Amino acid sequence: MSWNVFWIFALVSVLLWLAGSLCALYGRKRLSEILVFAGLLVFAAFIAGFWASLGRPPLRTSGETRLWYSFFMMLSALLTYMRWGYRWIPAFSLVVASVFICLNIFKPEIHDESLMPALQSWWFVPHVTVYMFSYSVLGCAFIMACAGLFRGSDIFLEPSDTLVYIGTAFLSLGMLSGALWAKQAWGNYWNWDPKETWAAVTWCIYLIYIHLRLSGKTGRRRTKWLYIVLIAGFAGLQMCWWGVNLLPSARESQHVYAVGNNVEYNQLK
Amino acid sequence: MAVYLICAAALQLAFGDFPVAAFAFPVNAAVLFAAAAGLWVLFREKPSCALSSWLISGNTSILLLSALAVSCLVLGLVRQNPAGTESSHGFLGMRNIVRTWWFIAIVIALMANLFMVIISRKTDLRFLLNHAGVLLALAGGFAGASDSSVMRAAVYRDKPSREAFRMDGTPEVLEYELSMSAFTVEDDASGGVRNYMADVVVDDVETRIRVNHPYGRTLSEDIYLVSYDRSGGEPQYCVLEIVRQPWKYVMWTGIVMMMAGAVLLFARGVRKKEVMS
Repeated sequence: MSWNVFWIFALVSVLLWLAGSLCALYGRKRLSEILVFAGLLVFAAFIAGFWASLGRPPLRTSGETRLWYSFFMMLSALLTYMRWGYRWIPAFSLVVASVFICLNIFKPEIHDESLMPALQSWWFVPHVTVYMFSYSVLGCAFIMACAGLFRGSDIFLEPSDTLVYIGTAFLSLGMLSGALWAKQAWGNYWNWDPKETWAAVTWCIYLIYIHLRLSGKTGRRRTKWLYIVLIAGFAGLQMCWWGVNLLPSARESQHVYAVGNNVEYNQLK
Repeated sequence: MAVYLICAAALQLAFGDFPVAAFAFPVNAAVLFAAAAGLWVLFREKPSCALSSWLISGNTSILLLSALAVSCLVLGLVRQNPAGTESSHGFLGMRNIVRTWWFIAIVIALMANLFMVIISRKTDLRFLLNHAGVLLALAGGFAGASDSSVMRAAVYRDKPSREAFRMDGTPEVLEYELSMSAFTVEDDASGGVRNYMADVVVDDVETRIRVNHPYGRTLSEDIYLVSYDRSGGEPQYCVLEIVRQPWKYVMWTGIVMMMAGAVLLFARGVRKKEVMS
């Protein structure tokens, strides 16, 4: 399946998700869940076909990781909606997912078939998919934090806790599997490479949130700070995912792969 | 905390980077053992003193995690000097942060905090795996840095050699010989390199080393294939990286414990009764 047909699958998925989001807003929970799930199936069908046509997992380039992020974002939204029933969560998540889908349609990045030796590893698929899943779950926590900050209410803290626990668990698994892979590929578990450093920053921020919540202190000011920590964590995730490539230090990163004479920034995490 | 960090910054200004080499085995092991024993005695004999209370406190964990996050933020924003660079590391070692006194002081305080909360709380498996895992990974990484070394050697076809170079360019003589007998490159359908491997003789043992698949010469030493002669035609040499890291098992244990802890974090989720002191 060629990248050229992505827009067709994306359009069908987004329309199904949009219909599901509208149903959620109007209180049609069951129908909303079915429509969002149908959209996920269509999107998953493209990923599966694309994977088969590439002959390798589509996890190497920026565009390919965005593909997974959009998918996991809506999956996380569906699970969050099914669990807590927040009517607005599918619509907000759709906006985030659509941004990444549009980026893939209007600014597609390299989608060639090769997978360089450094990435020929058993760790490749679990490491990247686990990271993308954690990013999407923590993306939902970010939406909760924005809603909580906007409304000045602490009712979003409890669902945020669950999302942060799940997201941090997967974030940790992604980071630690990366460390084991790095040892196998480069000789060191941790190199303080720019990407690894930003991963550490992000991890610390979510650990701070968990420990702040465990302290049991409450209050309006504390609630506000907790939401701000979640927003800072999400900013850290974005830096770790693609923002780090914009920094001068990325030139020395082991996680940026140069192909031929044209430097192409291919994201691993 | 502020006084502690100011002292570390003063040491940085006075002496430059932290003397990592001075803590080679057995000094690092002795310091770790002494620190653990000292903290244990402190906790048993004076559990209510200011230092014990501070080290056991959950607020200290938050403070130290924040300090570590800010340090890593600076590390992520300020371009660092490549390993082995002898030129200036800037004010307070900002261009080589992981070797500064103040950064190591934060890590040491975090390790002490982790040790104290582990021994002071009646806790469950998840808590233990996550906290002891981080402690072991940090101990293996930072204390083990003094015993670690990375060297590279250009190994030529049928020319045994003992010459290698550290990452700062210092030449080293290996205690064994390396030579290459054959080299294989596998291309993918689009013509790019998919895989490469070298048949090498390491200390009279013939072996095949593939990219991403190191050869374990000893328990603490692994040899990696990192590059090869790309000038065209049959490769005449390959580049091997010799990594000595005797503390890798400590780090590995910590990482695996943290992974198990992360699985339990997901499986058990939030527990409302879980409140720190």
